[in-house]
Amino acid sequence: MGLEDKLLSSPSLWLCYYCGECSDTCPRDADPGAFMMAARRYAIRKYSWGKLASIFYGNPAASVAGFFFTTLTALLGVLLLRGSAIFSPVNLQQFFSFEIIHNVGLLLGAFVGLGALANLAIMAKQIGTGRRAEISPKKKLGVWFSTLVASVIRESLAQIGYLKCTNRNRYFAHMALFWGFLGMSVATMIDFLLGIGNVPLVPVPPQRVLGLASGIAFCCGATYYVYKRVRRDEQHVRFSHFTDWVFVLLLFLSGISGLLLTTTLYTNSNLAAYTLYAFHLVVVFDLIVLAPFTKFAHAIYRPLAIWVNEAAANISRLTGGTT
Amino acid sequence: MAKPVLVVGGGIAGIQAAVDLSEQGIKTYLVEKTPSIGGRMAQLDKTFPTLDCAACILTPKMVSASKNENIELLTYSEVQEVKGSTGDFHVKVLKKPRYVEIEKCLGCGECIVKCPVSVPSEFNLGMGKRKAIYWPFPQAVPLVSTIDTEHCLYFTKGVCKVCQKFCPTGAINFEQKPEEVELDVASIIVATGFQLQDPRKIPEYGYGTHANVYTSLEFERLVSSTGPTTGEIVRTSDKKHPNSIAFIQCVCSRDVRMNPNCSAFCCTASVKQAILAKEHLPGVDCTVFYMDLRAFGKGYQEFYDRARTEFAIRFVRGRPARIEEVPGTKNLTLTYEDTSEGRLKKTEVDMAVLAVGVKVNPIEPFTNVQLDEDGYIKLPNSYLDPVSTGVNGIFAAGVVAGAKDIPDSVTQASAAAMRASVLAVREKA
Amino acid sequence: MSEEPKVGVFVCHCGMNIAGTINVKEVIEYSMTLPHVVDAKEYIFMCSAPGQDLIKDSVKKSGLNRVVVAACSPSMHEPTFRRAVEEAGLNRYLLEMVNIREQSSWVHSDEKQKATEKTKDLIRMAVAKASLLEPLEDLRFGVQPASLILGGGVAGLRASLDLAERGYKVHLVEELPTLGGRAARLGKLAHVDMKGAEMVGSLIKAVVSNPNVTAHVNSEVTELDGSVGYFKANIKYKPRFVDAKCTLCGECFRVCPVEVPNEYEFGISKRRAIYLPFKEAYPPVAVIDSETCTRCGECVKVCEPHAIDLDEKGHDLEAIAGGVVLATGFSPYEPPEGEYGYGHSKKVLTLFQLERLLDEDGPTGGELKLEGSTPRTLAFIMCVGSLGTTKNAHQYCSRMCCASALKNILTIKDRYPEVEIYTIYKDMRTYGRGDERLYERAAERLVKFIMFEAPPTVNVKSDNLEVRVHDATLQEDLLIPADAVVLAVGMSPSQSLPKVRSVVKVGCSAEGFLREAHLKLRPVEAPADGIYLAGSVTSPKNIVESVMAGSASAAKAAALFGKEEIRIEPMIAQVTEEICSGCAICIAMCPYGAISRKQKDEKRVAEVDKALCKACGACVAACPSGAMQQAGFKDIQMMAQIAALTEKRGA
Repeated sequence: MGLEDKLLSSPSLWLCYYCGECSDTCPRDADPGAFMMAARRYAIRKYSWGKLASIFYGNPAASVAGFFFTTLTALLGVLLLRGSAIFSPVNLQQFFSFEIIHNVGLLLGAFVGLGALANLAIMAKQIGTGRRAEISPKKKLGVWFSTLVASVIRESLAQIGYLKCTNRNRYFAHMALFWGFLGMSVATMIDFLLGIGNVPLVPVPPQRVLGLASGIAFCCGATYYVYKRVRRDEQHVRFSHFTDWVFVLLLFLSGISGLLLTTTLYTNSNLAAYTLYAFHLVVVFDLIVLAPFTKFAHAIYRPLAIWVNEAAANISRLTGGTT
Repeated sequence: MAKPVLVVGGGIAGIQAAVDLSEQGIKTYLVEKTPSIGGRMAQLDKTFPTLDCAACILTPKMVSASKNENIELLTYSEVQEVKGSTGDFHVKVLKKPRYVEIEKCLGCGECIVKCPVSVPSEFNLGMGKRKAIYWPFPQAVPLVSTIDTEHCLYFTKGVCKVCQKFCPTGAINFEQKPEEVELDVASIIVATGFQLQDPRKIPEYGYGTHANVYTSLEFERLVSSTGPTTGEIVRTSDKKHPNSIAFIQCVCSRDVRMNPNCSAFCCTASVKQAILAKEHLPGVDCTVFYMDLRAFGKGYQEFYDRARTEFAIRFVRGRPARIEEVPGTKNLTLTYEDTSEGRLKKTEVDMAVLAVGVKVNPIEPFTNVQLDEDGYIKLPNSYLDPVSTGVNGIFAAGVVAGAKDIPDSVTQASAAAMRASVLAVREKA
Repeated sequence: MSEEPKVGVFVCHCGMNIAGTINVKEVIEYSMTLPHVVDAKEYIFMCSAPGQDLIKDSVKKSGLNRVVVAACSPSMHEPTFRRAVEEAGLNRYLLEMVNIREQSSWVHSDEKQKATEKTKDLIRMAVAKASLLEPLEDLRFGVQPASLILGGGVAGLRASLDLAERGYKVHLVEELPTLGGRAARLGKLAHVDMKGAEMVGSLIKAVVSNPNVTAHVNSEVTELDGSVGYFKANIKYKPRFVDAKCTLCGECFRVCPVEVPNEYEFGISKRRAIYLPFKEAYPPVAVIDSETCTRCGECVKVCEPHAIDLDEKGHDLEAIAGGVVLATGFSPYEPPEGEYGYGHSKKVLTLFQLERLLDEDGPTGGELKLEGSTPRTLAFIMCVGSLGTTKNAHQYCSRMCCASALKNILTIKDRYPEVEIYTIYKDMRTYGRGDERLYERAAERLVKFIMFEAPPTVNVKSDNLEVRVHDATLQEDLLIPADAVVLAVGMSPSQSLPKVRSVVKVGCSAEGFLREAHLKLRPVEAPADGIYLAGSVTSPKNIVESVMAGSASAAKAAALFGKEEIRIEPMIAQVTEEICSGCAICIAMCPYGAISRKQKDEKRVAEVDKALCKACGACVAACPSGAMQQAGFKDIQMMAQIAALTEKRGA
């Protein structure tokens, strides 16, 4: 009906936690929760730079192909570029050069980072067209900055909003997943910066503790998400788009494979270790490459939406104007 | 001589059917489970869109029904069992004991004045009181007292009997027993009507917990000159007049959680109530929150237009999400979306009236008569034959066959009487 | 009058309707000061059982012989109080009822003191008249146990069937050449697997096969005399020019040179001057439209069974009935040219036309094709001709259009799932049983619903229709490039209503439909006794509601026919023959032809036919000698009222 702009310019899509209460309560069975979720999938397609997201979301065949292609690339990369598999002790660095990982990682990081920025720019522009000049960042820069700090801390890091859900488990699961992911990233970053190749198993270095603890938290979170989607016992998991499964399974598999991998290091199970390692590399590669095209994208869209919403409200309150 | 016909339910539909049959000279039994005929209509103050007072147009029909020699009223009675088939039904009816003999009771009311026990009145939906010996309302037909054994001191504690002492004709009989009668009839008309749904099914509206949230029927009693406040619209919490009233439509109607159907009359009924509120309290602010305003009958749209223009009643399209109580004042805060502005709003009002949807009364003894999933009687051939149930010889009229307003109930009742009369005349008594 | 009048005054509160404005206590006190008044009582609802008992008790205890009831309008409760007075042992016409509700309380609700004073005046007048009332006896007439039913649509058919099954004779008169009415022109009905003509067809079959029914098709009632219990009708049979020998071979249709728009297809296809209205028409005989027939005779040449007689003359028939049922239906609202593009494009059609398109027996065989193609985008505009949406529209709601439109929308979605449908509506009024489900199903099938406050506009372009509407929910102006627009038109009062009303004396309400005796409790009766109103003749209705009304009016008629005799109010004109000079002015005045002259001794005097007199009073006013008086409204009674009004009020 020609109202696409109106839909995409609304940050409200991203304020929704999909608690599903709206759908549970709706007297007309209109399922607004599912609509919001579908709208978010639509927005991810539209905010994404280039055509890939659209294809990925729109066409299961194309997305399976894309997934297959990514996985194949990673697998080939691992198989072709690997080193030798020493039997004792397990030497991951030797099996697959950390340097390659670091280089590929930096490339991917750049790719994803640029992609994320591009997408954010598209989203910001969309919101801008819908919201007119009242909330133009040119005015009230101070408010924008203070809101950024406040909203990011409150919502993105502490995720206070999630506490309001009737089902508290979602808050804990998401925190575990989110912080677990961050923790593992930080741990890996430390390893990278210290230029450590093969990290000694004992004494257990602090970043390994961080990494392990984060990994366990991450796996708990991921397991919860898979479990919920299988059980389908609440509104928000009653329907799973295949992109939902892709995301959740990739998270789960990356977490589990990482944890199991670490275990095999201590138990010195070489075959398991190298297999898991290869598997882990492929899965993580998939996860990062496919990030902008899956639900993962909410990680950037939500903060922006919250930021814009809060800033607009603050500006409106200050100017006493109508928003 | 035609064979008699049985009409079950003494609301306006049942009364109309009985009167029509009796006008044809056909003997009619009118069975009503409460002590008086009149049904829901007797609880109304005024009817839309003419604003006739309901009692004015109903009570003469009630008197007609009681006086007509062809109608036998069996009030405070219930159908127990239905056997037989078209032209030849055998119906067992239980006449519950009132403990007052109908032939002797003058309707003088002394027993009621003297009775020491006061309990909430069902007719006034718990907002007023009645005695343990009572008439449901002062224009009850028949005007015969009934003793409520659950509260009567004699039946609960074995004492008192003051009513018997003061009764001038000795009509009180504590030994009265239930009486079972068997009726042989050619056809049956089921017109057992409805109650309102329980708005506690929507806890976010606060009915039952917030003092100033009422159902439409409760508000109707408040506005009635025969009601617990003789027509003064006052709040339960502080007995003050409200300065603002919110009318909320489609409560327990058009709702997949308990009743997906539309209840047909509530839109225009709420418009009427808002107009009455304005007439009683000229300065009051009235707002009707609706989804669609179904003023579909003759004169209803014009009535709705008058409400907007002449009475300055506001109409907001948006079903409120919740009603919260303001501590202290006991006012109510409504959260709603004004769909014409697309914005979420909150407003504070002194009183909220929920237009609660229809819940059909069950028709237990009629085991053959099929109901649809919402409890309404199925009319298998509704186009050609809009009163026939699936059972030959049993007809339906009024809300039991689908939510409808008074003119449609009365029309369907006459239609049912017509069909029933053909069977009655065919089978000679 | 032999005895001293003893008047009782009974003032009703009518809930708050009277008591809210009038000071009833003051009125009661005042009443007791009036001449001849011996008792004055008040009650909250005088018409109820306790109220009536109050009157009866007072009559007995105070020995009243005249009763004044000050309450609502006599048209509401005069019969009620007359009965009560009669039960108290007095002649029922010794009651004078004063309207202090409509005529005082309601119209002067903002001037309470003045209204109370006016009420006192009205009661004083009534008491003056009551003191001069005389006992009167009802006129009694036999009842003809037969019914005249005008209109052969579903309501008329159902009423006919009910009365016939009940054992009464029925004259069913239909002006069109076929029975069935509007319902026969509908496609699939909602909630059932049946189309309109099938449903009506089974009803027609039952009616015409009942020996108690005489169906006069292609006929009109041109005169109706009499009153309740005895009506004499003149039924004019219009010639069909084709008789029952017709085999419907269709040869005549082929050769007829005249082509005119087919009104049974609402103008979307043509018919010949000789035609069969539709497949299921009853009687199944062709008919010639005499207005368009050129009398060329081609049809006669090809008619094998020689069923055509171009010289057939109509004839008149007399029918006697005790009661009359008016079931003459409605006319679909016809949008004026240009309204929503109607008339400017073949792709703007009404809902009735759409029903024809979707009917497999229709002009396109059930295919949704307009100018050869199926529309990809369809816009339904609701409330056309209703809710005051456009300048020409009626103010009222036409009730059946929401559900009808949705039914058709679902039919289209079933057969053409790819068609995009926009429903542009003001209010969605699916109030009927099962109709909410139609709305839900349409939404599930992705029909888009756009609510408007200001009506949409349709711009007829060369290749499509631009529908512009301001969506009130989204607050957006929308442009819908529709391939076709369907107007959900409402119901207007029947175009034949003026003709009907010239024959049957019935009144209309403000919007042009017939007025019933009481909107709530007497919806199928006309104010005049013996005349019943069934179906959409009183207000828009759907099929089920019309059928119910048909049966309901039959019930009222059956009650009438079951009586051996009926009693009629005796307030008719009476001649005092001694004074009458035979001038015959009254005969010329009477609109009902109720007065004639007779020989009495040496002079000729006027004589009133009691059955025909409608008590209008014209002759009474015209009579120069005062010989003609109206019972219950005699000159001395009226003068007493006027004198009472103009005298100064007592203390």
